[in-house]
Amino acid sequence: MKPLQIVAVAAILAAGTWARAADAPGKPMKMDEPMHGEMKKGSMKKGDVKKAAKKKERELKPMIEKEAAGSAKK
Amino acid sequence: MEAAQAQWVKIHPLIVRITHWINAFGILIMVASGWRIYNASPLFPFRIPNELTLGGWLAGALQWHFAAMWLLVINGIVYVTYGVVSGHFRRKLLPITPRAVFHDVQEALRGRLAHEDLSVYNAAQRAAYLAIIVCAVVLVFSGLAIWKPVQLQEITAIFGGYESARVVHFLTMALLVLIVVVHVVMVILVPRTFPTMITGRARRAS
Amino acid sequence: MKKRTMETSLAGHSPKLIRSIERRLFLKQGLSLGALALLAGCDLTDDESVQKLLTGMSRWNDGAQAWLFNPNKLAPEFPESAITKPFPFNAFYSVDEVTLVDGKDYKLELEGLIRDKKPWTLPELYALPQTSQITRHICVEGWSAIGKWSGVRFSDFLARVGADTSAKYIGFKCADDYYTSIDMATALHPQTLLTFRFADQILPPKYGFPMKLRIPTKLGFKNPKHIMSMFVTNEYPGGYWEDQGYNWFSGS
Repeated sequence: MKPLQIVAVAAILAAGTWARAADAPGKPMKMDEPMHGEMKKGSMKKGDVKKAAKKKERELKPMIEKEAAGSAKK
Repeated sequence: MEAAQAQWVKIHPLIVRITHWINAFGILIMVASGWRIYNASPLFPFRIPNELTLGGWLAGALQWHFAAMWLLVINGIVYVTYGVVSGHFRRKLLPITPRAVFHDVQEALRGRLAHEDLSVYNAAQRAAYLAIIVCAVVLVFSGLAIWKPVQLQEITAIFGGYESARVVHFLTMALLVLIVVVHVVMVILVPRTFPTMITGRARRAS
Repeated sequence: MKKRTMETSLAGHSPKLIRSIERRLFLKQGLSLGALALLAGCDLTDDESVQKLLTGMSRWNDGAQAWLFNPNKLAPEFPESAITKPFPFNAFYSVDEVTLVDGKDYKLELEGLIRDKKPWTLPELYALPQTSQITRHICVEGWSAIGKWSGVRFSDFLARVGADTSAKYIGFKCADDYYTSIDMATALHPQTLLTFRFADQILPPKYGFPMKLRIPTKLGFKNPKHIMSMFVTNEYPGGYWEDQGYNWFSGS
């Protein structure tokens, strides 16, 4: 094969692999995109869940640890 | 002439007037929020324009729906208890025969239905008001069937399961809305019936 | 259509402003129905108070549903032939963005009022006695689908790890950042299963690998997928959708 043919075949294979990978499930979430489904309010973004989860974790963690420590003493 | 002398007669008891308007308000909220809930997963190949719905989004519509539900529960208990105990239902809605209903509906369509005595419902009115009560009962039970298909599964089973209960709930809503539209059109055509549902009184030549 | 253009034109504005405009829009929709005329006397322009009333009613409905909840009432079960195929995928993201959890490194974390907080690996969870159910999954959007899930009875698991079952709530944190919580009575219901299989196969990622808590007595969004950790508590933990306005109990 000529070098040019090799390059062409390699490019096609690479493009195909990339296309498959891009299409496969599990590609990273685009957090700034609107949420999917009918449960959302118009302006909600996928990233809102991550933000809310972090906020919730900050709020709950101390309370839950304190509660668990309190019950362990008993 | 003595016959020309007008006389005020009481035709709608206070309790009926109050429950009527609370009911109108509650049904409006139920229907408008219900349309928004419908839009989240339409049963039929159409959606209700969002401008006609209440709640802004699914969660808002559900909040309105399940809040107005309690208003209608309390109102319904008061109205039905009064209607049965006082004999209001029996006096105002009965007797009713298919022949009389057919006759009065035809007269109404020809614009010839008499409304001289507003204290007595004609057969078409009786049929419409009874149908509203029947619709309300079906809506309550089909609604319970959708809301609680596990805890109240016996009710869900009556409607043939969860999915068919949704269809029954929607179609009964459609029938109720149709009757209410006819009811409102009739009030517009016979406007003097409107203040009677507020004041409770009507003029009657004696 | 109109709404969408509004949203794009709002991009870049503060969420607070957007929220207030949304709220105004939402009220306008109410007003267009003549609700104002009927609400005469009640100050509907004070939207905060209307929202407060609606939130209060939703809390009342939590109580009503908890009261109605019968711990012995079983959700109807269906034959294999009734299973919905294909079973719908539903999440706040599309199916091609499903979270992939590595099963080899996976450990279920336990927190809060639990005696034995040792994390659980998948082989350990798979070794527990398993049971199956074919039940109807009902989404808050209205649609429903019948599926088959298998796993360990959640009440057995809670007993095994020494969870304080006199506590009020169990909260869940998921790999896709989703979080929710349930009441203890529902957690102890005999059909509440910590499931590892869907249709007799290991849960595929789109249905919640490595595990989904299947609760046939609650709406779909109360059935967390991709669970990474759970905690037992007496502090109300809420949940993502619940904190946005969806009813917390959401029982079926």
